[in-house]
Formats: sequence, C-alpha cells, structure tokens
Amino acid sequence: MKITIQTDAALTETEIFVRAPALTPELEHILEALRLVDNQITVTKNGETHILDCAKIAYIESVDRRTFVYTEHDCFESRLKLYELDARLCGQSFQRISKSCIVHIRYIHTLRAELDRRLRITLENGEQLIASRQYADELKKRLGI
Amino acid sequence: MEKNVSVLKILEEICTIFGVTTILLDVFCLLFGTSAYGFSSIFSLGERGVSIQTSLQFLLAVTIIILWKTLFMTDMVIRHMSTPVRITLLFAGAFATILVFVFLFDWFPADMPLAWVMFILCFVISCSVSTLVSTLAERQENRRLETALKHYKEQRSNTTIKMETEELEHGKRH
Repeated sequence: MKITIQTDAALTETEIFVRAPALTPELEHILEALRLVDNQITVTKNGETHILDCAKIAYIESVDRRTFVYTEHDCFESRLKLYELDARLCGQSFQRISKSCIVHIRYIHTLRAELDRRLRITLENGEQLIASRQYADELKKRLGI
Repeated sequence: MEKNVSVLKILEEICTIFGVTTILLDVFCLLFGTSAYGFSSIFSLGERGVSIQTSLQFLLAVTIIILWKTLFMTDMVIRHMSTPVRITLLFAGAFATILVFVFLFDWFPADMPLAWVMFILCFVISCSVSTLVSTLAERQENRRLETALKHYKEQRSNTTIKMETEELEHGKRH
C-alpha cells in the first residue's frame, strides 16, 4: 500500500483521499478506523451500512467474536474488534466494564455496588450491565473515587 | 457476584477470620475461663487460654463457613439467585456447621437450655450486626457512586459546551 501525504497551508481542514482498485475488506477496516478519529463509526444493520455518531452509542458488547453496538433504542454490528474500539474510544467518555463490554458513561443512569465489589450499571433506557470487579475499580477511578 | 475466586483469596479470608476468632476466644478465656471451666471443651484450660484441639476445631469450622460463603456469595457454582436468598443460605449453612461442632466437640452442654438460648441469641445478634454493617456500607458506597457519576457528567457536559463555543468562535474567525 502506497501512502502519500501532501501538506498545503491554504487548506482549512484535513482531507483524506483514498485511491484503490476496489473497496476491499482491508480498506474498509482502515476507513472505519479513520471514521473513529472523527468520532464516527461504521456499523451495519440488516445488510445496510450506517455511519453512527459515537455520542449516540450507549454501550458496545462482544458476543461470540462479533461486536455489537447499542444505541439507546437500536442495535448494530461493527466489523471492528472490541479491543480496537476500546483503544480508540476509552479516551472519551467510554469505559471498559468487562472483558466483553464497553459502556458510554454519559448513558449511565445509576450505579449500584454489588456483592464482591462488582457494579450493577443501569443505563438511561433501563438496560442493566454488570461491571466485573477488576473493571469496576477502573470505572470508580475514572469517576474520581 | 464474582465469577472466579482464587484459592489464595479463600486462604487469606480463612486466616483473617481465624485470627480474629482466636483473639476473641483468648479474651473470653481470660474473662470467663475460670467460671466456664468444666462446662465447655472450649474452656478446657480455664483462663490459661485455648487448647490446640479447640484451635484446630475452630480452624475447621471457619474453613467450612468460608466455603459456604464461596458457594453462596459468588457465581462460581450458583449463577442465578437473589442476594437475600444467598445471605439466608449462608447463615443457615454457618448455623448448621456450628450445630454439628457443638455436638461433635462438646462446645457447650447440649442438654442445657440456657446454653442453647445464649448460643442462638449470640448467632442472631452476630448475623444482624453483620447484615446491618454491610447494608450501611453498601448504601454509603452507592451514595458515593451517584455523587461521583453526577459530578463526572456535569464536568463532561461543561467541557463539551466549552469545546462547542470554541469551535463556533474559530469558525467565525475563518
């Protein structure tokens, strides 16, 4: 793959121009990663591709090696792995809460301490998630406790 | 509930509770050892302290109770059970264990009603106090979590508003 970078002081915003013989899965993966920089994520639902604003994501879950992205009232699938999304999103309001789940802290409605230092997370839409002990400590640290 | 509890964590818990129990037993021996001598095998040495046999009996009892706790208060074996049921089963398991030890090692005379009344009273008080303490600690922790979450959201929302204002101003300049 050939990468060319051109700088032009006259430009007001960064533009990425991709030239390729075909839209390969590898290229789609790169584009998805690029969209994340712009706080967007490419997701699919019923065979249709959507570009989702990261601010709308409530939580992301990995089930049987597939990554599902949940908004308040919808569910999509992402080609990106959970660790890839974790690496890019955790600097924002997202926090890993278990080996298979990342939550958007903005969508947390309540937090309840469970037995053995786990946390029960209730989202704004009423869905409940469990933060495992290891990740519960990280979430608490993130919240300043 | 936690899914995997390490053996080391269980051993640590056994040692901690056994240590506290031994200290309490020593204090009881100093206070009631002379008067209780002859009634209970626990006070077989009177005010001189606890015998090796009694220590080992208590170590075994503590180990069994911690195993009950691991069974009922974690997700290792039982995955779906409500917390009140888990706590009830834990207390029932602990009570049954102590009951067996009372008969097996003559911790107190089984034909003495007053001894039974005192034992049940002590057990109920211990259970109530531990439940109360854990409930209060849980409530305080939940309050702390709620406050921290609220504070975090407020902070993030202020940062977003500031960023949007800066972007708008930047856009106007260009």
